[in-house]
Amino acid sequence: LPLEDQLLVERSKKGDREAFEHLVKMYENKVYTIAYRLMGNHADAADLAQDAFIKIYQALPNFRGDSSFSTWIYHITVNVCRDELRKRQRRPTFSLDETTENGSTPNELRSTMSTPEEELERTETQAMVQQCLNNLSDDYRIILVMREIQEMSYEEIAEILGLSLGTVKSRLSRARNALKEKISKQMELLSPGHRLAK
Amino acid sequence: MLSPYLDGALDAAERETVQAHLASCPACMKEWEELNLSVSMLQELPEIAPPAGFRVGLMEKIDQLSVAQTQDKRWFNRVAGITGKTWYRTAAVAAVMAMTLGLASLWEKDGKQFIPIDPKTHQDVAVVVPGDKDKSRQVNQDNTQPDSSQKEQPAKPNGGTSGSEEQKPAQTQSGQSSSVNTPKQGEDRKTVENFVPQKSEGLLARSVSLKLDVQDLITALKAVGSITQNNHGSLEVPYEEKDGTGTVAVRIPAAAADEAVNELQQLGVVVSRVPVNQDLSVRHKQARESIEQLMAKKQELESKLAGEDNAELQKQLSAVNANLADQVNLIKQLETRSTYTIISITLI
Repeated sequence: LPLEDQLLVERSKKGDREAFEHLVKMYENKVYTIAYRLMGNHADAADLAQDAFIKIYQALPNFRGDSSFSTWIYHITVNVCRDELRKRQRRPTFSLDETTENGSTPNELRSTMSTPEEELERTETQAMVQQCLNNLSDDYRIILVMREIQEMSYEEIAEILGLSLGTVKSRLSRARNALKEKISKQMELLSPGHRLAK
Repeated sequence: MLSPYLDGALDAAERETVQAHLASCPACMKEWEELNLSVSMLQELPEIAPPAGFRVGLMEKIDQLSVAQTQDKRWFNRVAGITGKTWYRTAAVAAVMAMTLGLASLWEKDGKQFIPIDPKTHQDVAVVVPGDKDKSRQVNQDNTQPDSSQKEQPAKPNGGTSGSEEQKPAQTQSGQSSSVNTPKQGEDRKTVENFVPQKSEGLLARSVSLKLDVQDLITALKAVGSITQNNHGSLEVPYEEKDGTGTVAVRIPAAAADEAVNELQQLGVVVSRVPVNQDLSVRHKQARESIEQLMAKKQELESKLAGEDNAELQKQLSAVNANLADQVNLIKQLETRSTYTIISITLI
């Protein structure tokens, strides 16, 4: 951890509001991105990223620097989102953002409609990938975000999810395959011929 | 096998097996390519910035959180942690802190000039932790002033409640101070019997911690003085300055507190504002119940003693009386505390 960050963490621990706000500024993109990838829509992502930062604020006095600060806060973020997803599984909610595999227009795409063609294609692909991610089961989505976006090791994932290494490996393998199936299908749909036909 | 292969998590032998198979099996090769592509598409998803207002909203939530958290038992530690200043600890304990200081010690006699007093020579502080008399400690740093103020006090009925003192703080003689926490001998019986507690509900110890970024410390301090005076407030913790940061705490009658905080906020840029309300109703209710029980016990003992002269009963009675005096004293402090707000101000 760079010295400046270390100082900010120390000051925040003591309740320095400004220092904490500075830390938020430094990490909000990453935290928000994790929340968005896991939750699949901006409204939930904003809520849960805020919840995560509140948790971080409350837990700061317990942060000892055993892990890096960024690792620590990303773990908290994943856990906050997991808890929420678990809650919803018990009591399913219906969101307008949840759409079927075809023809969805996520916020991300809608807001960037005016960008140049290449940019549009890129974001369209990105939106498609997010959409495929959204359509996976929570377990698969969580493990993929941890591994591919947060770049956690098998061991870290095993520890956070409370799984054995074997289970992590097999679940990751199945999750990747499920994502591959969805993306491959979408790629066919997005192929130029198909798009013209639309 | 493809998934760990992708992560480079296979040992050399396994890796060779996979490579050899992929080279000879087009179906598996296709699968591998698709897997590889899908995973890299996921990995390459960009970072997203949160929507506008995200951080502002978050910090507001965090500010509110500090308020909510201070309601629970850990409020004390939390508040002490927020500022890291020991003076604030004193101010926060003020839930039952019975400490009055003449306002004139703050200002010169013409009432215009704000003079930060030297705590070493003019402070007369008494702190009582409720329900535990042993923990109470009295700090009397004013050696030049013996107990003259205390001698004047017992004449006052219900002498403790300093509400009346708040109304006329400016008239108090410089350096004069009174202490409401120490039960006064001779006054006990009378006040105990006449004492009618308030309702417990809604009793709050209100405090606000304000951090202001000001242009000039002394100018701001003077303004703090006039605002306090105009709102019939008094000095709670004397001004101290260290490393360009000034701290002072004032006590403002509850009704005027919001107005005073608003005025204080005009003195600079508000860095933080943390209201802390501690619920006193539970402790008040407990004290009321103890008083009722003790009163019953007292009457019982007194009626027994009317019939016979019993040294043991006499001893019990005086114990009950002492206990009663403590409880009444505590309840008065709680009630007094709910009549004002302590504003702790940090000037930077």
